[in-house]
Amino acid sequence: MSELFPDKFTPLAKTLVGEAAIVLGLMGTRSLSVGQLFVEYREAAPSSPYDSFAAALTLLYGAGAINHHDGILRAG
Amino acid sequence: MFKPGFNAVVAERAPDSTDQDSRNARGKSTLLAILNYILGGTFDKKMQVLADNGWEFTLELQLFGGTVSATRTLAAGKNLHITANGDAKAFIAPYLVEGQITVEEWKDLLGLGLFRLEPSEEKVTGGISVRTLLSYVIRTEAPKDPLKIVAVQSATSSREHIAFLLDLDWTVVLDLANVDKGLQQLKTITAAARDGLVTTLRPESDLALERAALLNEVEEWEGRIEGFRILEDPNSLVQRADELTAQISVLRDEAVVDGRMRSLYTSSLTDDTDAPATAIDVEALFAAAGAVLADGFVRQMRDVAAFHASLLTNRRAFLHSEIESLDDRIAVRKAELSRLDEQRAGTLRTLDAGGALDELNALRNELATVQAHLAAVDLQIEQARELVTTREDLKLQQSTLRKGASEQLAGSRQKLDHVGAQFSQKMHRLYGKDAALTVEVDNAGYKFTVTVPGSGSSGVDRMKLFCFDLTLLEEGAASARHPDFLVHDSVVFDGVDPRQLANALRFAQEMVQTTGGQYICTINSNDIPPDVLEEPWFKGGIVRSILDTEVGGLLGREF
Repeated sequence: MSELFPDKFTPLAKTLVGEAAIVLGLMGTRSLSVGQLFVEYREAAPSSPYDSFAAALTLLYGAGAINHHDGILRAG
Repeated sequence: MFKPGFNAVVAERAPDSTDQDSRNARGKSTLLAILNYILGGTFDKKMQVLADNGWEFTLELQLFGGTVSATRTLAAGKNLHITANGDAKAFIAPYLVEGQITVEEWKDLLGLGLFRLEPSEEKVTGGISVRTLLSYVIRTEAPKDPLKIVAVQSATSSREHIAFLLDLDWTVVLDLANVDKGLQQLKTITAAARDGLVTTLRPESDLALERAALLNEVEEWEGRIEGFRILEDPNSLVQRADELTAQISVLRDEAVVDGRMRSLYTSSLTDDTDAPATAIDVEALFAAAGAVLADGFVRQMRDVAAFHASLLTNRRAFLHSEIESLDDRIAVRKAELSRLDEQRAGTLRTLDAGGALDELNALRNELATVQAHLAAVDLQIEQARELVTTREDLKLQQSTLRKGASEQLAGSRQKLDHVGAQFSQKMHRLYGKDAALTVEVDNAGYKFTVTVPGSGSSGVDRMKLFCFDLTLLEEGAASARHPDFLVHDSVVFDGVDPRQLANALRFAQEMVQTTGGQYICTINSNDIPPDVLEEPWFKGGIVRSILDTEVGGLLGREF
């Protein structure tokens, strides 16, 4: 799992909060599959591995910021 | 032949002598040359005839608590034959091989026995030499400056040996001389650099100016290369080559990124993805949510864990497809890179054929030349700074040594003042004028100065030397830095007023009588004041009279 907050060695984009923000930004008000979202996410953050993407999604899901139905994600 | 006290070797006029006879060339100076030769000096070529006839000379010395007898042959005198009695016998025995000693070891022994000079001190390059010390006590020359043995003796050598004879630390003089030598060399280098004689060494200000000019030149060449255009280039080949280079560069950068991504995904695939690990992940996320979100998780933990698990189920599939698509991209890029490389090579070949590439290369060579020059100037700046640092180090060393010498001088002041007073007293008795022997410290160590009114007159200069030598003899009795004998060749009395000469000889006699030393002089009878000639001590002190009619003079042999 990525760091929580940015510090001297970790830029914002590499933190869990930053990654979650990128995911939310990508989704906007659209509904899309996890696969589609990952493809877009990887373009936005090429060096982030899938696990970070999954952690960011789970955080957003737990917080109620996104919903999940039949493999389709949607902003909450 | 010589006794304790006053000794004189006199060249006399025989009653039956003619105008063709002379008191000169009677062998007085030869006597001193022989003395020096036995005491480790060099062979005087004038005596070659005697050497061919197998002559050898023997000297007896009181040394190391006994009598030492040293015999040296004129021919092949690399070794001396030594015999000794009393304590000296045991002391010298280790140095002897079948009763013989080498000249070098003999000099070591003489240094030790006559001046308390340690052999190690004699081995120092540019240090104290026993032969030089002996030249202060066997005077065959009479330079104007009594602090020297010959007029051409270097100041450093004179200062070192006088410091030694006066029991001061002579090494200070040597160390300061070396520091001064270094500073002089730096001065020479700097001056030569300033005059442009050493092109690699110039003042830093000049180099800084040149460096600025070179930097401008580098910039100019770089600009010309960047803006390089071929006038006869209808197909814009150079531009095309540049574009291709840029494209290739971008593709290569991308290839690096993709390569990294691929290894990232590959390592993600091999990661363990067990359920417990996943659970820990969600736990951690839950904790993180507490820190990040105001309300923490709004969903049930169970719910969130199930969502996370579903995401991870797809993980392998995602990663596999991602690696595949990366591999595709890498393969496509590789082909593209080959194609572009080939295109660029073709373009460059075409350019080369037209000579344009030569022109560009020439520009690049110019740039490389200027850059090399710039690097050389940078190095020179470094060297110029190093010179300054070295100078400062030497200056510091100089002041440290000077300080030490001044402190030592302060400690010896009482003794040196006494020496000065003794010298002054002698000159006063001879001339009725005050004279001074002073010691101070300057950048070359101890500076000894003998000040006598009327110096410059040869008679006064001779007597200055005479009084200085007698003072050293007198002081040496206490410091043991002197062998307690003093030998003066007749040259010391040349041009001296008979009245002063009479007093000087009386002086010498009085002094050796009180200190128990030995004074030996060679002199022509006509130089001796008549009243001195009549005095019993002088008559009794004549150890040899050489008549001007004697065949072969002192040695009874013409050579």
